[in-house]
Amino acid sequence: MNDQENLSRALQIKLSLGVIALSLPHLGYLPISLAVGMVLLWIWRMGVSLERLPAPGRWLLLLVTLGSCIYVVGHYGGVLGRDAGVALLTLMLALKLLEMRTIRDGYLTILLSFFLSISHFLFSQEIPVVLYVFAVTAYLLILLKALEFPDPESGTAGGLGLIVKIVLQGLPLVAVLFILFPRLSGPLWNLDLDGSSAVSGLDDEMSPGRISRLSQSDEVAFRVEFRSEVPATEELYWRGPVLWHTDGRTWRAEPPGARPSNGGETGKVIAEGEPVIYNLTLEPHRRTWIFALDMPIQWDDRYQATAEGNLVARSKLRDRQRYTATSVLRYRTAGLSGRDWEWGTQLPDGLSPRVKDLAQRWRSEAVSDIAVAEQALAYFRQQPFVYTLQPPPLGADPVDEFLFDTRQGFCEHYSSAFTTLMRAAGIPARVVTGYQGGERNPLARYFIVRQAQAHAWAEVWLEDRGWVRFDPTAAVAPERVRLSVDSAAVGERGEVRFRVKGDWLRQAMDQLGYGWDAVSASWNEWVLAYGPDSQRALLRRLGLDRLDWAGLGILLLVGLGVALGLAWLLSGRRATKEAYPENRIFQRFREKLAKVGVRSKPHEGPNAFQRRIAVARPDLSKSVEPIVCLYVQLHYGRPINDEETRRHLRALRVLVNRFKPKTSL
Amino acid sequence: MSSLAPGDLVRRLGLGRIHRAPAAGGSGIMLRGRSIYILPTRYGMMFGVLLLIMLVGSINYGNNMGFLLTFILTSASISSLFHTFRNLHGIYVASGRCGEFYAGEPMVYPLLLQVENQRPRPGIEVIGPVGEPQQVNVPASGLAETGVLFTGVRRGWFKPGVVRLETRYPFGLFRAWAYVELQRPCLVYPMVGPSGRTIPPAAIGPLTMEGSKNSGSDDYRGLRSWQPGDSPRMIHWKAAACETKELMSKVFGSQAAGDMWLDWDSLPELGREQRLSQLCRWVLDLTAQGIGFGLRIPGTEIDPGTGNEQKRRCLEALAKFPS
Repeated sequence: MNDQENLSRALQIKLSLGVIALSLPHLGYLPISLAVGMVLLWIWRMGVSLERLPAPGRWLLLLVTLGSCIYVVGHYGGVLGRDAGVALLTLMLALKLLEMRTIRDGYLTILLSFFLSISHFLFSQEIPVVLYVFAVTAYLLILLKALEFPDPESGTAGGLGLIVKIVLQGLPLVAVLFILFPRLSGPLWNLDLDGSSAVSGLDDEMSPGRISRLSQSDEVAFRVEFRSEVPATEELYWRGPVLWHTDGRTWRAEPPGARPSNGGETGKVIAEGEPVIYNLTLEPHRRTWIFALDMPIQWDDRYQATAEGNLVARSKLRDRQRYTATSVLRYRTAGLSGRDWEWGTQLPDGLSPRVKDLAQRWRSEAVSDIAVAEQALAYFRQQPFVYTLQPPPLGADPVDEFLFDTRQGFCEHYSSAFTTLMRAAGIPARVVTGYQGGERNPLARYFIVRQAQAHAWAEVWLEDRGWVRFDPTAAVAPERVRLSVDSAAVGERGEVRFRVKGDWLRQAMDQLGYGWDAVSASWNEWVLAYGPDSQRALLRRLGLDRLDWAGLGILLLVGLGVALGLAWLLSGRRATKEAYPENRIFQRFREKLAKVGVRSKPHEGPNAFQRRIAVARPDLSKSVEPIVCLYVQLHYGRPINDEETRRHLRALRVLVNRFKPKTSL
Repeated sequence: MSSLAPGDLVRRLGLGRIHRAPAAGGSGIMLRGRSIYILPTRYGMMFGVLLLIMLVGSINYGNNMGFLLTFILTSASISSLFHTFRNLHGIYVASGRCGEFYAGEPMVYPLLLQVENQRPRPGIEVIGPVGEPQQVNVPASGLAETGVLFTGVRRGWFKPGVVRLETRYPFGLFRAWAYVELQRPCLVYPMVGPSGRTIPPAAIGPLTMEGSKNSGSDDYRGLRSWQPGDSPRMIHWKAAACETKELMSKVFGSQAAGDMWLDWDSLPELGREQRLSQLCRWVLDLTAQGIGFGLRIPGTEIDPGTGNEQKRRCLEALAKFPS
């Protein structure tokens, strides 16, 4: 082959378009300067192809390549890691396009592009992304074929037919590989996939403004399918990180310098209500929190419980988690450890006297701890507190300013103020963050919990009941826990609206949204979550219990053998559709003859062929004659009615089937 | 793709034993499974490495769409391997009609590729010992003509030897090839000798000596290129005026009586092959000029005549002259 031959201009343009289409989704992840540079390179490439711009010289190209490599390495601090790798790959391909000239360049470009195809899935495996990437990859396969075998008549469409055929023939193989290829749990090695892109979700610290930022995100945090009775929305408190330590402004999980919390002191939970069982599918949030309904009593072995009754994973979550848990909504916790007492009554240095006085007044008025807490809730209810996403900025002592001056805030303000007040009154208290509520997908049987439903509340230690949840936000804005925050409808000035039934357009959009969410939820559940566990479960369902690695290997080989055989058979199917069925049958007859060395000549009609056979192989002429006669009548004869035609065709088929010529001696 | 010829690879893999096992056949050969070899091309190997990296990446990140893409590309390439194989499988290769071949000149041995079934065969390459591969598309249930280039062929019966048929359709990731050894020979005429040597008078028959004087008479027999000494009346002015740059002389019938004899013995100073070459040259020249001639070589004498048939008979005799 001569792969030094030049690529045609049309092919150059098509290839460039394919690569550009494949690079486009990455632009958003690149630093802006690199993205702009890349677009300029593409424009240059197109300009060269359209003969509007000069092609870059060797040295210039080398210079640009070196420069951009150094830039990428500088920007990302290396080439390892997802973002740097993808940036480098996209850039190299853009540069490769510029110097692309020969068929060889075409091959290298297409092969490299397949890397680019797969790199998209490191960022997203959602249905639209997958469809887009597969479509562009198919286009690249068409071009791969066109590199050496351009097909002027059929063009791209004709190429598509072939690619579709080849891919379809391989599908059994794909299915076998996808289902049976052994899946590992956990990575072989860990390259930092986090990159620089932040993932929204709860954090292990809370300061004013953190959660309210989340409240404007419509992203899904997790989905829940209840297997027992569905609790009321206002009872759905999804427990997340518990925050103990405050410096007056920021709340953290632990005091600075604390020893890593030991799971040994797990607070005992005494159930007092019916258990609620549910399946939860948690989107990966790159932290270790595992959300569960307040308060979990049974959970997956993969997770551990903390002393606060929370669940945590052993490592940061990079994959979607799917687990079953059981919780009780009414419960008591037993025992307050010394650590809990110490941490639960910690107050920031320089707590304002106003706050201290208020708490002390309640303390002296109330007969019990619970009365103090009730008093605090009553305070929020009775004083003119406003629930808003955009509260006025707070100064050095946020709790004091919020309680007495601004009185506008979001759940983080209320929970931190409430907890501080409790502690000032000498009652152990802590802040719990998580999610509250959930919207039911009316088209499916699950609830969606979004980032917008992030919430913070307080827990107070009561002697006879243990840690008890108090939600001061609910005292101010009870609809917050009955309805969910509508992230799409946060007013300009931060006034919060809640998800209520809107006009018909809004409802229709909601329906569409729910439909799409149901589709992507099943996609996540059935396709993307297919891993070692689901593989084992599937094999068990197929009756292939206790299959070890060797067994799986043998099964894979057998499956591959069958699929390969199928692909082989399918690849033998002939391309052309025959308008005249008799031609196909007659063709089979000619092939049978060809096998014994009697070949019809290209320009020989059936009758001439028959005469030649009669001379060359007189032994066959008796069986050949009726076949040719029938064929000539069917193909060239006067049209007869359908019934007759069918009968003739059947006869011809039978004759040809029975025709078994032997090789002459 | 010159760095890795399939033959090299086959030898390197220790498959030399089956390497030269061309499908034998008389006038034609059917390419069948056992005579077709298939291996990845350089790009096929690169693609394999690429798939492996993609697989390891997918395993590492447990990325199911990564797996899916890797498996789809893997299956498509395996399926393309089958297509590559089937593109060659079932092609009937036969020799075509031999043309006029002269020793020392590049010759194209004619090949016919015929397909019996409905599968068209695009991108079939025919590769001989020299020159670029010839690419040809064979239509479904059809026929394609192509040829294999040979240089430096010698006079006499020529057998093409082993010729390679190859295809990389559709993706260029795999190369399927087969060797065919065609048995049907073509006759190669002697090398055409240098022009300029005049036909020695000894070779001209006795009658011609007189006849040449009145070469102006009766029957018009054709044209030949003008030579010094031809009378201006013989020049075909009409042709000179409108068509050719060269002057043509009209040749008239009375020369029939004076047909020339091309004689082996008239060239005693030359060796065997040179003599044959010179005779060949004269045969071609005289045929072009429309002058009748006969050929006399040891063992063969061909009576005078003109035209292509005479030329063919004489050249064949020269080609078959024992060496």
